Amino acid sequence: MPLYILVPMILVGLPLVIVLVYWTTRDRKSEPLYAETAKERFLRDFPNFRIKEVMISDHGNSALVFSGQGGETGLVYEIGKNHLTRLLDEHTIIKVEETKAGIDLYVNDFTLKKISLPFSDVETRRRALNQLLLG
Amino acid sequence: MDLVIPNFPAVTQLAIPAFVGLILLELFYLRKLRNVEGFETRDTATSLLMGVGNVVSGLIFGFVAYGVLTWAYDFRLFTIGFEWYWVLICFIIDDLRYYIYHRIAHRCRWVWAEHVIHHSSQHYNLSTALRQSWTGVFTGMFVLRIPLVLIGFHPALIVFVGGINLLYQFWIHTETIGKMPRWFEYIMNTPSHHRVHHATNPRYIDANYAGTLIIWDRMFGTFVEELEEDMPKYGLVKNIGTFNPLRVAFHEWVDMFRDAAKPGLTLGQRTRYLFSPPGWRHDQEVSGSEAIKADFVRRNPQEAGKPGLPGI
Repeated sequence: MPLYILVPMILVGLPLVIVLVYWTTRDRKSEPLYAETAKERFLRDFPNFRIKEVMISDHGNSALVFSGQGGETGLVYEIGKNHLTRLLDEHTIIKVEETKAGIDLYVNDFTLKKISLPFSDVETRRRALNQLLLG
Repeated sequence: MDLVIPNFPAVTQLAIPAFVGLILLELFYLRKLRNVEGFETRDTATSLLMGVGNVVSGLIFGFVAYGVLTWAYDFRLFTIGFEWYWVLICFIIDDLRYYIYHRIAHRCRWVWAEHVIHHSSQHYNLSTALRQSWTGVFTGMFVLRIPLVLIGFHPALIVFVGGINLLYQFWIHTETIGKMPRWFEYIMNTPSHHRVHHATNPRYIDANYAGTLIIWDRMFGTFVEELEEDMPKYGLVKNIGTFNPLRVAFHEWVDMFRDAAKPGLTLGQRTRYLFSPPGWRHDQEVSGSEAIKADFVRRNPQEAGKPGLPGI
């Protein structure tokens, strides 16, 4: 097919689809996480993980799951309308930073280098931070 | 007598208006008639951009593959024409070639590194069909077409039937169609069969590699039926955390070479990180999809030995 037909077809057709998808879905966010939904989502990918504690971040867009004192840590994280999960261990985490809004995790992951977990409550944030550093 | 080569149309390019129209139809159907949101703007945009990149990459690098096929054509055993029955036979053989390619793509990380892109959306709709790799030529899998050329099929015919095969696969990327009539489900690849292929449920991993004809999976033991009690969950075992097309396109290549370059590995282990099945690890006896399936069976022993799952 000649480029003078192919290129305009792509330039018109694709933005049309994207605009209509946006218009019809309004890009609603994912359902906020609660302890049970976070557990369920994490266990789907890591069924052998024994969850002792779940910490939901502000707005429920992400959650940390812990298997207990000094144990393993997992993450449930919003990506668009869905969630993804990660096991956070010493090979994955590069750096953990406390910020005014919460915790920033820098991870060894080409598709998700920085994870911001909003924890506005200082006490909750410190507890999550301790768990992360101990775990 | 010289072979007159017909002017085959570029079917996938000609189909672009139909792709757009059908995506919009599915969007409208899901939103207005079923009141569900099967689409997400950023996900759809990424899929479409991956599709455009695939076309561009094909225009830029496709000549390499075509050049190799044209060169190999000089060594053909027979000279096969373009009569309709030869087109049909070529299509069927090429569909088997697609099955082999697709099975390799899921069982060899070198090829998975490009094919993973097609599986990287957590949605399953018609736009997912267009989420295609930019690096297909680099895996060298076009060599699987050489046997067809050596038999005597012209490279132009092989490219044409390959295009028809991809065109067929567009409509099966949808949740709007349940199951087709039983006879059709038995012979042809369908939305139901392909949903299984895109699912990460343990029983569905590494199943239903077919392009157009599902008979190959039935023949070679990789067929798994979609079950109502185990609805497909789409995406990857380890889902990606980005909609950035560049990161989507290259993430597995980066991970693969990082794994192979880890310090302290033997040459054999480095090689296995490149060519073993995805998920292979040097420090685990059983890894990848085998480990996921075995673990599922350990927790659900009543499922052992069912299609897609190992025995105890």
